[in-house]
Order: sequence, then structure tokens, then C-alpha cells
Amino acid sequence: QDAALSAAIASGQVGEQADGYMGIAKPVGGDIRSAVEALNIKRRAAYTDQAAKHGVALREWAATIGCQTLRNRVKPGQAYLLPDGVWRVKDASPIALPGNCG
Amino acid sequence: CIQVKAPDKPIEINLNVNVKQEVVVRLQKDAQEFITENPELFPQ
Amino acid sequence: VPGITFGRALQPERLTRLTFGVVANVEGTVRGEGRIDWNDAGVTSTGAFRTDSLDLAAAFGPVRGLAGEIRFSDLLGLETPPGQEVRLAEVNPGVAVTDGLIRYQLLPGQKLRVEGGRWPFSGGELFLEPTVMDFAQPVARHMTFRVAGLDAAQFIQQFEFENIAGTGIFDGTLPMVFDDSGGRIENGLLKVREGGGTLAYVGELSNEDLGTFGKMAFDALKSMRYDNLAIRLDGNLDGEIVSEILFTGINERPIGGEKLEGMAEELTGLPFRFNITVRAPFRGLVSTASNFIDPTALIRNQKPGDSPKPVQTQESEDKR
Repeated sequence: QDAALSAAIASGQVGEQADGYMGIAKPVGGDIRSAVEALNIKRRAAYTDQAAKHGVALREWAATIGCQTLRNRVKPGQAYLLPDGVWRVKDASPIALPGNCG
Repeated sequence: CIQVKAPDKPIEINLNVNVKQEVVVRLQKDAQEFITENPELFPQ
Repeated sequence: VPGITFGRALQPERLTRLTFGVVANVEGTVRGEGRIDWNDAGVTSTGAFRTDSLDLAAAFGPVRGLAGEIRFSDLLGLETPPGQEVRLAEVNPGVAVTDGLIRYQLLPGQKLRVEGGRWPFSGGELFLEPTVMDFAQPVARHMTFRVAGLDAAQFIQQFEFENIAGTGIFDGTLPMVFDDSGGRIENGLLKVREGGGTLAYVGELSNEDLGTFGKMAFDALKSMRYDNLAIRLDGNLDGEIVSEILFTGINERPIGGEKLEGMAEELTGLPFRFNITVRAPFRGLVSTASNFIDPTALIRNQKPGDSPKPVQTQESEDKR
């Protein structure tokens, strides 16, 4: 089901969020929803170890990841979510990152 | 000598403590490394 | 079923769609046996499955060392008699808690009845109150934890709180909500038992210009004996927790020692009422080089003119 998830990313149905997890931008089928949840569960498990290693709160580490994914992994036409809760589609210009991204 | 009388009413003190961490900037390089080392977690 | 070993090659979602998006990274072996019988009365199915140690990741965080046996009264319907038990070596919803034991029953329609749960925690215990959760609905899960006999000294030591020392035995309740963004406490309350305890903030304050009241507040906090203390807790287990600490007590170390040389001794045993609000990630109170504590002291019975300045404590060195 990786192909289906990649297709959903490419078409802007699902996208990266500033909080470091993947989110659902437009209504999707159950399989895609489960794929996003499964991916986030794996991310959260990995983030838990990283946060402990760096001695920071889990959400702090996840937000640091979120800054990086928004900074350089969202392609034009793909969806992304900023802390204001509004889904946007990336165009050619760089994403206006949240303040704490530095 | 100076006589100090303890106040009858307790001295009321409000204290706000904010522990802030400038984490996001400090760990930027580590975060980028983590992403590149775990591509299966970051499909495109 | 002699033994199914989950790992990189085999994940449960290959066997049943039910687990996809619910658990991931499952590692370990499950053994068991299941029976399905047909007769004119209909179909009956039973089964029992067990594991000595299973690791997995769930929406609330990773689980290590899950062990136990589950006996199904209706295997196909995923129903069990009451009194099933599972041990959890470690669960980490943002804060790691170890050696958990949960008693539960699976009910028709993907419902889980939690009969009770218990974790040792900082010298005391955490009890998960009975509740029923409907896994057919993707809703937030409400769980209430009761705290009994939490030892403040062990809690402070376990979470490596810097610059703070304290004693006192606490009881209380921590109502929690778990959803796909993690676990959070909503109006948690902890109260100290009869006898109270002591509290000391021992961090040096590099910014001396604190204003008389601010200086007095911190001198008093250097060694405070309190008789009653309550803590309200709200916030994310994996992020920022706001704790409001209310207590009355007396100071056991003199206030403004050097400046008031002549009467330093008299200035102990003064009655104080403190209301301290701390906004900090659980992990954040651990000493990291870039960590700074910004206490603004505000004294309620103080003249408006004398507003205290925020204080920067000395940056504590990184222990790791």
C-alpha cells in the first residue's frame, strides 16, 4: 500500500504537518487513513527514542522534524499544514515556516 | 534591639516559572540527519 | 498455532486488517490454539493465545515486553470471559512507566472493558480505573488514573528535576485523554498526606537584581516546611505540563541573610502562602545547556510600583 500512500501525497490528499506527523488534507478512503495512522505510529515510536536521546520533550523533537519536512520535503502541488490549522498547497515559493523553526 | 513580630497573616507570594527550551534550532542538524537515515518514515 | 513470529518480515496486518493503523513495529512470538466447530446449532469458536514478550508501537506510544495469555470464549467474535490479564514491561506515552498489569475483557462489537490496571510509580502506585472503550469508534479515549502514595523525593529524583528537593507523600487523580496526538492530563490533582513535607529550590539565581520581594520569595523557598500542598496538573504527557502548586508553610532558612545581619535569626518561621505556576515539559526540567528558568515573582500584597524583574538562573551544566 506504499504506492497508494505516495499517490495520495503526490495528489495533495495527505501531507506533512508542522507537528512532525502526516495529516489528511482531503477526505480519503479507509485504507489511506489507516496507512497514515500506521506511518504516524511508527514515527511516534522512533521520535520517542530520539527525544529521550536528546533529553527533550517528544513534541519538541517532533516539531523540529516538522520544520525540516516543511523546509525541504514538500514538493509543489503537495499539501502541508501549519500550526494555524489551515491546509495549504505548496507552490514554487518556499513555505513560510512557523516562528520556532528559526 | 529591633523586635520583629511575625506577620499574623501569611505572606502571599505568586510565582510563575516558565521552563523554555530553544530546542528546535539547536537540533536542526540532528533532525535532518534523522530524516535522511529513515526514508521509510518519510515517503514522498 | 505452534508460533507466529512477528518482525520485519511479518506484521499482523498481513493476517488481519484490524491491526493496520492501530499497532505497528510488532516484534515477538505468539503461540496458541484455536478451535472452530460447525454443527446444526451453528458455529462456535474458542481459542487461547499467549506471548512471553512482545514489543509494539501504538498510537499512544511504544510498548515493550507485553506478556500474557488471552482466552477467547468466541474467537471469531473476538470476545473473552472477564479477568484476562496482560503485563507491560514498559509503556511510554511521553513518560515511561514500567511493570504494568492490566485486567480486561473483550466484549462484542470491538469493545474493551478495562477491569483495572496498576503500575508502581515513584514509590507509590498508579491505578487505572475501570472503564469501557469502543474500538469501533475512532474517538478519544478517556482514562482516569488514581495516584496513591507517590513519594515526592523519589519522583523528583526519577525525573531528574534540577535544583529542586522535596519530601511528602501524595495521593490524587489524573484524568487523562488519549487521542491520535498523544496523551494529556485534564485537571489532575495531587494532595500531600497528613504531615506535609519540605520543599527547597536550590538553584542559584545569577540575576541578583530581583527586587526585595522577589529575593525574599526565593530566600523563603530555599528551605520551606509546608503542612498542606496541592498540585493541579494540565497538559501533554509528551510536551508541556502546567502545574499549579498551592501551599502554606514556614521558612526554615533566614530571609535576606547578609543584608539584615543583626536579626537574621528572627526571620525564620515566617508564615507563607505560595502559589507557584510552572510551565515546563516533563523532560524540560532535566538540565540541558540551553535550558533556562524564567521565574517572574509577583507578590500579591505588594505595592504596584515595585514590579520584579524576570530572573535568569545560572545555566546548569549538561550532566550527560
